[in-house]
Amino acid sequence: MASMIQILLNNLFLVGVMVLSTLGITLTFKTANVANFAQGILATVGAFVAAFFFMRMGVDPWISLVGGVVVCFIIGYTIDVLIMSFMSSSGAVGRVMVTLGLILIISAFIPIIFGMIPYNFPRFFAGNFTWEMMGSTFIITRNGLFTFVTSMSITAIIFIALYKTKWGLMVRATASNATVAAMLGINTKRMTALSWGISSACASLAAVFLGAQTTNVHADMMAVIATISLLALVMGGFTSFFGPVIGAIIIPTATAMLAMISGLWANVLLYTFVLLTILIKPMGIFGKKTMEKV
Amino acid sequence: MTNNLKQISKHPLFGYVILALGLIGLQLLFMFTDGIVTLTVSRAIAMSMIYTIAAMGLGILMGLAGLASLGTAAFVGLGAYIAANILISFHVPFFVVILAVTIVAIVIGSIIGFISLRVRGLHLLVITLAFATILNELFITPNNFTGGPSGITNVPFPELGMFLQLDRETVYFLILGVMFLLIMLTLNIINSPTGRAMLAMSSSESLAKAMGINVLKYRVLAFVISTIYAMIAGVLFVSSLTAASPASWNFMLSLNLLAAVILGGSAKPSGVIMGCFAIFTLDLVVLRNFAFFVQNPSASMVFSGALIIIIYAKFPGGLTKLVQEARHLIIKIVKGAKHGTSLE
Repeated sequence: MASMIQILLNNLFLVGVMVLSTLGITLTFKTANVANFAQGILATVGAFVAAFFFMRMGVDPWISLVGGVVVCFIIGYTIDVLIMSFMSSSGAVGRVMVTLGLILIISAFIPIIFGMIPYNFPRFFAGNFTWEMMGSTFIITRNGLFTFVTSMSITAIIFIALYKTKWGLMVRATASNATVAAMLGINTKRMTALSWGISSACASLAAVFLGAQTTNVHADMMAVIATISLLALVMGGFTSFFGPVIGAIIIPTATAMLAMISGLWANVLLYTFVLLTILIKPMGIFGKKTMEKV
Repeated sequence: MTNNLKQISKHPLFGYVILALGLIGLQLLFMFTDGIVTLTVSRAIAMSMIYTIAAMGLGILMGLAGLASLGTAAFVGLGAYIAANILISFHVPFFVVILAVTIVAIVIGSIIGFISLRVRGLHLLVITLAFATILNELFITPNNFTGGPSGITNVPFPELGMFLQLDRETVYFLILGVMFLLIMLTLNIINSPTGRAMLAMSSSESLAKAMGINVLKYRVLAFVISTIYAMIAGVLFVSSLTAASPASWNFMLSLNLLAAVILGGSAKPSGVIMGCFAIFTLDLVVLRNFAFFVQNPSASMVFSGALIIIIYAKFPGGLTKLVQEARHLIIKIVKGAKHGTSLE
C-alpha cells in the first residue's frame, strides 16, 4: 500500500503534464473542430524555445518558460489564421490530415533551427518533500508537486473561464454550433484562432514542465504524451470538456499501477485496456450517443 | 500490325510493363557499366519500390474502402522483424517467409478490422496510432525477437527456391517482381466485386448495407489486405538492407507514406507509384546532392508536409488528376492541329 502511494506520488507530475496537454487538444477539438495531431510537436517547439532562452541566452528559467509559452501561443494563433481558416470546407478528416502535414513540417524544422543535440532545462525547485505517515516515509520532488499543482490550477482556471465568463460562453457557443454562433454575432474566426493559441500555450507549458522535471528537452519528448492525450480524448468522450481531462488523469495513474505488475508490458497492457474501452463504448466513457445525420 | 500495337498499348498493364522494363534496364546499367547509374540511385529506387508496396496497401484502405490508418510503418517494421528472425534461424526459400508473414498479417489485420467496425474517421486514426505506438514500444524494448534499440543486423539475403541465392544486386529484381505481382493483384482487387463493394461502402455505409453488402467483411478485408502489403514491404526491406532497426519505422514514415498516397490521389497503382516516386526517390536521389539536405536529412519532410496541406486545400485529386488534365490538354491540342484549327 505504501509503495503504491509512493508510485502515485512519483507520477504526480506526469498527471499534471498529461492533463494540460489533453486540455489543449480538447479545446481545439471542441472549438475549432480539429483533432490536433500536431499539438505534441508544437509543444516540443515551446520547450525548445524555453531551453534555447535558458541555455544560449542565459535567461532566467521562469522567464524562459514564459517566452516558450508565448512563442507557442503565437505559432498556434498563426497556424489557425494562415492555414486552418482556409480548410473549413475540407471536412473533419481533411483538417486532421492538415495537422499531420504540420507534424512533418515542424519536425523537419526542429533539428534545423535547434540542432540535433538535446537541450537541458533546470528544475524550477530543487529538493524533495519528505514526510512520515502510518509508519512509512513518502518522498515527492518539490518540482513534481509544483508541476501538479500549477497544472491543476491552470486547468481549473480554464474550466471556470469556460463555464462562468462571457468568453467561455462564446467558446461553448462556437463549439456547439459555429454557424449559429456566427449568426448571433460571435466572431467565430477569432474564437477558433484564440483556442488554437491557448491550446498550444497549454501544451507548451506541459512540455516545459516535462523538460524541467526530466531536465532534458529533445525532439521526441512529447510524442507518447500527445498520443496518450488523443487516446484520453477518445476515451473520455468528445461531448464534454471534463471527460477527456478525467481520461488524462486515469491513464498515467493506471500505467503506474500496471508498472508495478510488469514494468515491461505496462504500456502495452494499458493501450490494450484503452482500446477495449473504446470498443465497448465507442463514444467514450462520458460521451453521449449522438445521432448521425444522413 | 499497327492495329496490334494499338491494342497492346491499350492493355491496362501496358504502362506498368514499360515501367518494369525501364527499372530492370536501370539496374542492368548499374550492374554492367560503371558510372551511368550510381549505387545511390539503384538503392533509392529499390527503397521507393518497397515503400510503394506499403503505400499501395494504404491506398486500397484509404482510396477504396474510405478508411484511414496511421500504423503502416509499424506493420512494415513487424514484417521486417519476423522476416529477419526467420531468415537468420532457418534456411527456407523466400516464399515460405512471405507465407509466414502473410499469416501474421491476416491475424493482426483482422483484429484492427474488428476494432474499426465500431469506430470511424478520427477514432480510427487515433486507434491505429495507438496500435502503432504499442508495436514501436515492443520494438524498442530489449528482447530476443527485435534486438532492442540497436535492432537486428547481418540478416542473410533470401534464397529463391532451392538453388538461387540472391545477393546485394539481384535482390533488386526480387523487389521489382513482388511489386509487379502486387500491382496486378491491386488492379484485380479494384476491378473485382470486392473492390466495388469497398467503394460502395466508402461512399455510403447505409446504402451499401441496404444493397446487401456485408460491411464487417469488407472492412476487415481492407485492413487485412493493407496489413499484408505493409508486412511484405517489411520483408523486402530486410531482404535488401540485411538489417532491421526500430528507428526505420517511426511515425514519420507512416506520415510520409500517407503523404505519398494523398499526393498520388488515387487508389490505383499508377497514382500510388507516382506519389511514392515523387516523395521518396526525389528525396533520396535529387535532394541528397545538396549539402543542406545531407546535413539535415529530415529537412525533406517539409515537402511531404506542405504537399499534404496544399493538396487538401487547393488541389484534391493529386498527381492522378494533374496527369489526366495534362492528357486532356494534349489530346485537345493534337486534335485541334489535325482539324486545322489553330489555338488562339
